[in-house]
Amino acid sequence: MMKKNILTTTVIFQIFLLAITVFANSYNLHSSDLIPVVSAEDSFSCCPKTNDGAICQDVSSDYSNCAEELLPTKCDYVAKCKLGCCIDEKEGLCTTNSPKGKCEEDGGIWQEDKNCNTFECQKGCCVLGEKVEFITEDRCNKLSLLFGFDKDFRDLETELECFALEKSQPEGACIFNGGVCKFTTESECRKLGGKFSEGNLCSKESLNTICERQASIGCVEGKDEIYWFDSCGNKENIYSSNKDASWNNGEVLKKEDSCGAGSSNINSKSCGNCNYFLGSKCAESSSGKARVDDGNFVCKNLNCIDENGKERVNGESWCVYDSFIGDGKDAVGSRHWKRMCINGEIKVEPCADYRGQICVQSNINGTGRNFSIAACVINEATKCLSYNSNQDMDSCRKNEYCVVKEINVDSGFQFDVCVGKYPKGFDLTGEEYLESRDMCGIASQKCEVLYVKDWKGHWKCKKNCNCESEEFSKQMNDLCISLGDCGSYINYIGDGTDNSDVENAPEIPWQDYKKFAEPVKGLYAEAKDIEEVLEVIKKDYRKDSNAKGQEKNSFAEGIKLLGTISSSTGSLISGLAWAGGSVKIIGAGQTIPSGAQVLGGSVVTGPAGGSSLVAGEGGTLVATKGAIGGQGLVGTTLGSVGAAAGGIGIGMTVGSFAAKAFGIKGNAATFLSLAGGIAGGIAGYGAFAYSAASTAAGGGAAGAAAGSSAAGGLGGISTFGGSSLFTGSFGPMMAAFAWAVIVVVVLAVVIKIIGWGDTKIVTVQFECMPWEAPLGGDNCNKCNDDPLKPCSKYRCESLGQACILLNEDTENPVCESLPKEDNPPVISTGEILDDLTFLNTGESKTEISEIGKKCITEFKPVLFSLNTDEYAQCKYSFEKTKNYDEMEQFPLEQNKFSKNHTFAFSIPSVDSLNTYNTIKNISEMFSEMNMYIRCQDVHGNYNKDEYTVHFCINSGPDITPPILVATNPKHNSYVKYGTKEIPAEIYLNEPSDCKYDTRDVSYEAMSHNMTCFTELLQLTDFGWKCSTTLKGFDKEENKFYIRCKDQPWLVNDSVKIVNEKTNETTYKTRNVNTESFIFTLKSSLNKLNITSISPKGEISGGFEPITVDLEVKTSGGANNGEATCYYKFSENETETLFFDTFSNIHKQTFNSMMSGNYKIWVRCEDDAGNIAEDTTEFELNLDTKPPIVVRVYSEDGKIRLITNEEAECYYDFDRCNFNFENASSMTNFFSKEHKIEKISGQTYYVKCKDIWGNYGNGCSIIIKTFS
Amino acid sequence: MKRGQATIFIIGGVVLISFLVFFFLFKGKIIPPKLGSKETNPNLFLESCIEKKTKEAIKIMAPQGGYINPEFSFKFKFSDGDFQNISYLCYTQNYYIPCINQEPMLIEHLKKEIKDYIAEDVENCFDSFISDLKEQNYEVNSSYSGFDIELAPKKILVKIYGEIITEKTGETLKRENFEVRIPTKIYDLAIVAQEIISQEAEYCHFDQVGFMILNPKFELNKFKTGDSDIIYTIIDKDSKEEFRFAVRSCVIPPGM
Repeated sequence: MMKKNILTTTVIFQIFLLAITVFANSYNLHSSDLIPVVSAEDSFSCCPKTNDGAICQDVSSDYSNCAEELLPTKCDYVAKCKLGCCIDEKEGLCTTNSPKGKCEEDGGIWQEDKNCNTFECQKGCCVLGEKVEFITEDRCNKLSLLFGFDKDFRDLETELECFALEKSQPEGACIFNGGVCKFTTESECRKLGGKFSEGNLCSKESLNTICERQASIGCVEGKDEIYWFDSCGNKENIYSSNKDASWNNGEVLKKEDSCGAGSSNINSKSCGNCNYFLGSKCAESSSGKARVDDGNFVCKNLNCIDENGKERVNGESWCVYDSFIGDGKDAVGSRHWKRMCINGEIKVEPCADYRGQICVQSNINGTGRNFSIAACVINEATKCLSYNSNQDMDSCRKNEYCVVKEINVDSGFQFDVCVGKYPKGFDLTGEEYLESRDMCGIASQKCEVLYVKDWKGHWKCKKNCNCESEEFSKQMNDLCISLGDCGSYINYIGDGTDNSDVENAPEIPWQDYKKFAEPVKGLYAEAKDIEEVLEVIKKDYRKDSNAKGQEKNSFAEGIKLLGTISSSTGSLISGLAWAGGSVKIIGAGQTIPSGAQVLGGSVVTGPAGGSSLVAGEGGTLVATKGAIGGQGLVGTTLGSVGAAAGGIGIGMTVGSFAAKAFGIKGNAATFLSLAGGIAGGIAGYGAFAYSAASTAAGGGAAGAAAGSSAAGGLGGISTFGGSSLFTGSFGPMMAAFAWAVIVVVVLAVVIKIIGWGDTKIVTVQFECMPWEAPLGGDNCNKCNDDPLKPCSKYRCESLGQACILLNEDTENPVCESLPKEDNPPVISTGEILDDLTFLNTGESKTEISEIGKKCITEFKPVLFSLNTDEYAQCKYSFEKTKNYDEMEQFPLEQNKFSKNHTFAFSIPSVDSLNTYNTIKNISEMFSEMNMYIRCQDVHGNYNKDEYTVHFCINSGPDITPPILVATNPKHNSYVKYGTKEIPAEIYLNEPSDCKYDTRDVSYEAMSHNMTCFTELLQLTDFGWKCSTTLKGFDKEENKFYIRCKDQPWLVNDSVKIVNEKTNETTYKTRNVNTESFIFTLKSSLNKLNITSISPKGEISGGFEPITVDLEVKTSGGANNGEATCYYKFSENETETLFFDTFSNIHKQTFNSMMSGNYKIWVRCEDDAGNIAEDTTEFELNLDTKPPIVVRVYSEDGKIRLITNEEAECYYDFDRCNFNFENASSMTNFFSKEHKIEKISGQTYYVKCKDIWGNYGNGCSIIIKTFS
Repeated sequence: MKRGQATIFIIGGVVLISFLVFFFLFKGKIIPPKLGSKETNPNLFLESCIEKKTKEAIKIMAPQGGYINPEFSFKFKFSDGDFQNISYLCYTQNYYIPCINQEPMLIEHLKKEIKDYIAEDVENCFDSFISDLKEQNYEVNSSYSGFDIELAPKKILVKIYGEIITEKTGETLKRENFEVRIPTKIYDLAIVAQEIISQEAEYCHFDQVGFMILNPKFELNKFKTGDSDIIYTIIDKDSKEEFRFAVRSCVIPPGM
């Protein structure tokens, strides 16, 4: 039977709201849907060509924009869409991530490695006369041929090394007949057929050329400096107004020996030694003022002045922010910007909007000045949440982009959450509102504050008292903000809105955060290390892109975890029994010693989290101690003292029982026990003294006997028994008992009246909602202010509800306000569940009823929507209010501005509420219910008069049986291989008792009872829960039949009710399901197996990095091996999701691996939770050795060669240092066997190269044949 | 008349007679001096005739990602021009993943686009050259067998396959396979574009600063649209020629 609590009207409405929460959570599940346990990844299909013209796109299987037939697999498994490296042989170009079909169709050669880590695509330095290019060898061939140079391809690893080579090409005079001279490189001179004189200028007298020294000055393409030119137009040395010094006796003067070396010489009149890397370059003087003495040229300043007036060197990049950054407090609409100084001009690279990327900066301390490098890197905020799944706060703290939010409000409300240091922004249009709502909802938490009434009748806070303080709201709002664009916060111009709702604690206004609108000078996001920035610049973005798969996956984990935090925080607090034994608070590590223990003088450790020790038992323990105390006096004290001790024991026992009987707890119960003890003691002592005086015999024995018999659990009772048994002096004990009863009962009545020891829980609730922009559009144009910070949709929409971005498809989109108007939204009825209807709809009212009935059936889900003629935010209340702000409840859309507003509730039966003491007549209240609604548009216009939705709830007997709303695990899902039993939960629309069986029999005949939450307030997010352990998994498909019976508060199945006024007799009957809910769970027929992992063993690569494809195949399990696989490189690190998974083949490409030994741990899990684990070990070797000829022999008129590895061998008859291109091949493709026709008396110079292009300096072998 | 004057007249006469004799003796075999002019030099004629159309093709293609009629593109307007269809050369419609190369053989594609665009004009140019010759009273025997395009640094080569045999006043001349060079940086720009695409498809990123510092002859502008597309504009600083295309790669969605 339910306890009777007093329910006020407010509490009744809260019950409605609890019911609304059910709908809010199941809103997106259709009513037939069951609780998803594992979110299934969307299945992919391949669209070879979309209607738009995009080729080879992975799309969802319901994609409707495909121009060709949708193929039910990922594009990587479709031959023509498989991605690889496309080689343009003619041009010597390689392109990554290219579809095979398109590549081959256009004449390319396609290779599997999509990152082009192949021999053909390795770049090196190609020297083309004075120039160098960092290109493939094939391209070098082409360009050398095109420009008429001998191929000069050098195996350099980086572009910078190659460019350095350009500077080191020796130059000199190239002299032709007749004294004609050209200043060039040796190779160029050779090409032109001149005579090269290295290190000399054409004007050098001893060369006898026709060229005169220093005839003019000018710039040279590809060079930084101003040069002198001779009369033939040849470049001479770097300009100096000291002509002789510059001419250097007709010899080449190195840059470092020229004037002003080591400085930029910006605007110098005398020196043209400009330095690109120091920020200057030769240019024609535009002003005429800044020019060198001998011509209209100048070392132009390429440096820039940044937004703070600081000089930035050419090539320097830095970060600019809109507002404060970090600590989870980036403002809504803010963006990270990378700025660069390039050739005297500041360029802007906006990092991905919605803070998808953050700008990180590293400073390099050079000689006397800082040089900063910035990069836009992926924001790992989502990954930060994944650390919560295993409470890995250490990893969180180590990740520069994450921050641990330490919630520490009170001993029972403390937990750590890992969140993004730079929270990501949300879509503010409302299109992704549900996702935003779920994410923000992580910070929607409850703290239960325990109050106990003292003897004066005042409520005293005992536990989690700080939750009612501003500190709770502040810490929770900080957490809320750090989850993204959530909570009461500001946009990047410092305007804000309140998007959190705090019950029973002070609200936190957004104005408290205004200071975060200003960026902090000198504060920038630091790269994890300089390598990260360099990696981005060096184009190594792979780590991050690989990490995204993990991030995506970790989201669910994060949500799951934070859900756990949420529920555990709530449940652990609700699990407190204030007067119980010491309660271990999970996560808090605190214990609350009970008053009883303190009084008892010993510490009793109660069960963890337990609430089993109640006040009465505490009293019993004290009583026992009292009895033992009495025993200690036996034989040493007078009989009267013994009788007193016995009386105390009896009295305390009586007190303890009385406390139980009256439902008195805590200090009041202890007080009652003590009072009983004292009364019993005095009475026992008095009665003994009186008895002794009157009988004058056997005095001391009674007390001794009383004490000695005190043993075991119920000391008082035993004492009492002992007394009677051994002494026969029944009177004192009876007196003690009688007095104790009288005193205790009187006191108990008094305690009950004043309520001493009563407890109440005050739930302090923080609701975190998605951030909404301020009303109106007054600030829209602030988005257009700064040309270096172009406006975007996100930035614009953060400035006001009425702000819209125009000209989005132009370089300069403009943020403008919608025209201002003063009309509030017009509310009209929208949709409603099929069996409900709107009636009597007027301008500002409507009624809802169940079709065919006057009122709505109790516990019936009510779901309807109202429409507004413009985008608006709505609120409602069940009581009338003066204005919009006074209303507190949002519809399911919460604070979103939309045109459809959904309202949902389910109202309990009158009977269920009558089990409580209510201060209103429920039947009366249910017969006339009004829901008042107001909506406010983007300009802040709201309905002065509320829109009223009228309805009534059936107040007659409940005649509908319970309905199953959801199950966990999901209906029709798989269970692990070998499962014999599993815990399961079902959720019902009303409190019920439930049973299940493996046979479809009546409720009464079902053999397994379920444990059900039957109290009205025990409503969970999905309804009233019943749990059990399902047994009997012996088939492939296991059916469990479930039936329930409602109204558990009724003692009998049918209760007769007589109306006192009318004498009418009715019956309340518990409704039972006559048809079973069939809950089906499928058994996994096999274990999930990893059937293969590759690579294993030894792998060779010709150069680093080496591309490695990790491939895992799975079979068995719940769904023919379909599983989700994860990998990690060490046992203790966090797992990463495979890039390609959710099938039975799982692939991950590592494209930047270096040589070494590797071990990879792989774990796969299917939908049923079957797990397969395995590892693979392999060694990556860098093959830099040329192939070796291990055998040569003659056979069938042919010379045959065997090499130790697959290779191509070529021969020449004259020399070893031949080019492969010009030589004859002995091999069909790559092979270990090579052959050539044998010619007698011939010498064969043979050179072999392996598939990585390794070959020796000389010949692999020289073969001489004899006639 | 003095003796000296008589000698000069005699010499002059001899020279004149010699010239006339020489002229009449070889007049049938001499190639007309007009061959160096546009009217009779096929290379010069074709160059002037084809260049305009080829440059027109480049002018249309270059800001549209190398397409005359962009198929997979979106409209966008830069402040210095009109709305243009900008083609995606690398694209993925999914979040987080690198783009898929839509035109892996970009140079081949450009050749094809130009070739298709000028094909008719090349033949017409060839025909009008023949007509011109005929108008100049040449007897012309010609055949046209098509043409090819070669893209090369700083130029486009149009190789026209055909044969022209001309005869006038007994002189015949056979010329075949003509080559027209059109100066343009389209090839150089396309090579840079292909490098950008390759890096975007592999690393989701192309470093603008590094590129411009190492290649100062190019200017590279990178513009991110509201839809997370990136529009790259490569400008050859000398010729001011531009090549513009779009990439959609590793898009990060709003929210978590």
